[in-house]
Amino acid sequence: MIPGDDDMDEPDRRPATAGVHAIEVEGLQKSFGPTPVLTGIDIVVDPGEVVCVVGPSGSGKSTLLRCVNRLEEPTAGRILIEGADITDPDADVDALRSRIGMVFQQFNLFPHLSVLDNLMLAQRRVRRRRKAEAERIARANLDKVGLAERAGAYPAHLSGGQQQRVAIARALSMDPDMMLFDEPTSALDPELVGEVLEVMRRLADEGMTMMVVTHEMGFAREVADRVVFMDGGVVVEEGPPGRVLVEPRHERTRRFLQLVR
Amino acid sequence: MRRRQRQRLVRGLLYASFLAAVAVLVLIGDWETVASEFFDLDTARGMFPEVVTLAARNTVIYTALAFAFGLMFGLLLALMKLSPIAPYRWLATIYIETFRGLPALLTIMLFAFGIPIAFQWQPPFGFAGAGVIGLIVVAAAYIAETLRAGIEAVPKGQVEAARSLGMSPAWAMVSVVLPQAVRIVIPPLTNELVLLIKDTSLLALLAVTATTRELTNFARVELFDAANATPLVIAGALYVAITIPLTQLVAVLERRNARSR
Repeated sequence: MIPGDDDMDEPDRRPATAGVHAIEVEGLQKSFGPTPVLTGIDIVVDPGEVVCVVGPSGSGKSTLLRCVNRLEEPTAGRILIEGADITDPDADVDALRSRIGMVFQQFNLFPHLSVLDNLMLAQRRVRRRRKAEAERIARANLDKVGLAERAGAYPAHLSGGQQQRVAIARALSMDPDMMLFDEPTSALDPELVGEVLEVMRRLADEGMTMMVVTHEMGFAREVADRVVFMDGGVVVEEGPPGRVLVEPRHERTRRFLQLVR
Repeated sequence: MRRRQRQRLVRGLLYASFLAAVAVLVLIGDWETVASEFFDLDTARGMFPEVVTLAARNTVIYTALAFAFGLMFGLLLALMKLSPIAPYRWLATIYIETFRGLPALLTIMLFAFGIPIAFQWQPPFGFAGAGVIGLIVVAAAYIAETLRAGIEAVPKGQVEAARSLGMSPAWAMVSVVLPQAVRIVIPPLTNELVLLIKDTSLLALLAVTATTRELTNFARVELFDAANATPLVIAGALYVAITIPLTQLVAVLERRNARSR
């Protein structure tokens, strides 16, 4: 549950079952053709938890994240979203995805729509909200990311940092139960990274369930409840940031941390 | 210094040869014959107003019909060609390759003579109708390829963003991909429209009734009546009067597109 982000006109989509994991990845494998990218991943994310996934490029972090909302088709394994198997061929993937917000490295705003319309499109089409209601929610979320006055602008006229904040607001406008961030600051100029991380930090403080693939070790250290270090398609180690990022047990983690520092 | 002198010499020679060519043309050309055979005012006057109210009008109507239906079938073919269902892709590929490979005139004759003779089929609106159907069939093949290229030019991240918000593949196509694809293909589509305008002249080879004649056919009849080439000039001027505003429109649209990006 996200305090203050609840929509009264909505039927309660959140599961009544207490103690169910937000995301549960079991034995996930993924190959692109003959190339194995993920070779057996098990990860659990609990409601309200912020999990940062770190590791060298090519370690399969992004692929893992993209499997969670099935933008990539897993080769083997199961992924449960609040207990519902999204890898099940009979699963209503669209309905499950609408509960999972996703933020991309390249923002992927719709360039033909204004900022406001970017935030309203899926609300109208997927949530079937009336126009006035969708606009109210969109404006509230724009305000939340500090861009209320840019509602009428087009993505091309925004800075990278602003675009990414709009992308976060767009995902939030669907009232997701959890958010996936795929290297959200990697495409940004250094001076714009802070404003995006700040929005993410506030989201984490509000109790949003978040899975964040990132190279921002500072963010991971300060905001994550748990850090997962991946390399070569497997989870090498995971634990609280104070342990994994400060006194890692594995040699591979140590070497990686020396490189990014 | 020497280099600049040489450049000046080359440029002088280019201007001189241009002037020489013009002088030769003026001196040896039989300008009286050109004037009386190509620009005979009486012959020209005799063509009006029918050349506009009938012939040019029919050309525009045939073009509009062929383009509108060609766009519809072309979109269908483009979506078939991008379909995950293989037989649809094959069907679209066979259609597109066939009708892009055949001369338009052959396709028009297929619908004007071949199919009517084989199946005792009466084309709607006679030969003119059969001719327009032939144009539609050809235009659809070209438009399909243009639209497919436009759809594929929309970055993959756009579909991923739409799908991650819970939108179905159909909604993602209609409200995210197609609006962007249309912008990309407006210039090439307008070029196809211009080609189509000129292809309507192929209908001149069908024995259409007097009221369904288009520009080229009209000009041909007038040409033989008057034993004078002026009707070709008038018809040509009208074609250009239709196509030049269109190509200018494309230029304006391209400039506006470039600005909004």
